[in-house]
Amino acid sequence: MELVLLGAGGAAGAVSRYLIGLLFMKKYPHPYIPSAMLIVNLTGSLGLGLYFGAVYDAIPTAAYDELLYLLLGIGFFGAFTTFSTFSMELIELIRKKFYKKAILYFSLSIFGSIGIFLIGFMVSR
Amino acid sequence: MIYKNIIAIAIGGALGTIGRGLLNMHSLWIGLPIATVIENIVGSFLLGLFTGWLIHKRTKDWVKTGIGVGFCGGFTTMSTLAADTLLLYMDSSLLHSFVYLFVSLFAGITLGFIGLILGSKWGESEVKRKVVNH
Repeated sequence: MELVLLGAGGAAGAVSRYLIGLLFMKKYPHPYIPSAMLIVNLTGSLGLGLYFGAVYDAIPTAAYDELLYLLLGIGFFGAFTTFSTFSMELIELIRKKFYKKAILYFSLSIFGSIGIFLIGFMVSR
Repeated sequence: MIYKNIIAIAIGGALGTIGRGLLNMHSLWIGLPIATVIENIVGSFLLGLFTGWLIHKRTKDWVKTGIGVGFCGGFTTMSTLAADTLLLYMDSSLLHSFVYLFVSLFAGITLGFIGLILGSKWGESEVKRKVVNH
């Protein structure tokens, strides 16, 4: 059962990330920084924060025995957001020597995700 | 075309997420959220390797998206990283939180870069081998 929930949440999260990425690139083909994955990571972190605040009232250290957490927390929001693409896009900016863009992309992705997660968590608590 | 990609991403994303979930569940005894650190580092390395390989080699679109967007994307995560960073700060200390974030970022980006270089060499050597054989 656990594996089915993880798989379903993960599949839905990854497909949503892909489709949002496609839509974004169609509308804004030349963003200043790689914004599609930035937006995905920010919304996904906000979603997980909202979920944690609403369901747990605190950030859980371990909620792996709860099926909804596997489906939504680890599954959907976990797979909707991504770290590997963030790494690749950051490396690409550094390789092209776009240092200002790299710092902006890095800061918005990391501090933005943490900050917006906290906002979501506080709001729904 | 896009449907093939979507199916490949769903399968890759499901597998990556199941792998991540299992690693998380089986590392709870450690008491520190170390699994996500490892997943993000390994996933970045794998995506680097694949991206580097693709510089020289061609493959079907659904294979690319299934492995890259699906598996590597689903195996790594940003939302749990954000949650873990704050959890460590609240439950443990600012230092632990900082170390967690620093190791994730430094090792993830470095290994991603190493993967990219290795993957590119791997792809290049495959192309050369093909040229020699013909």
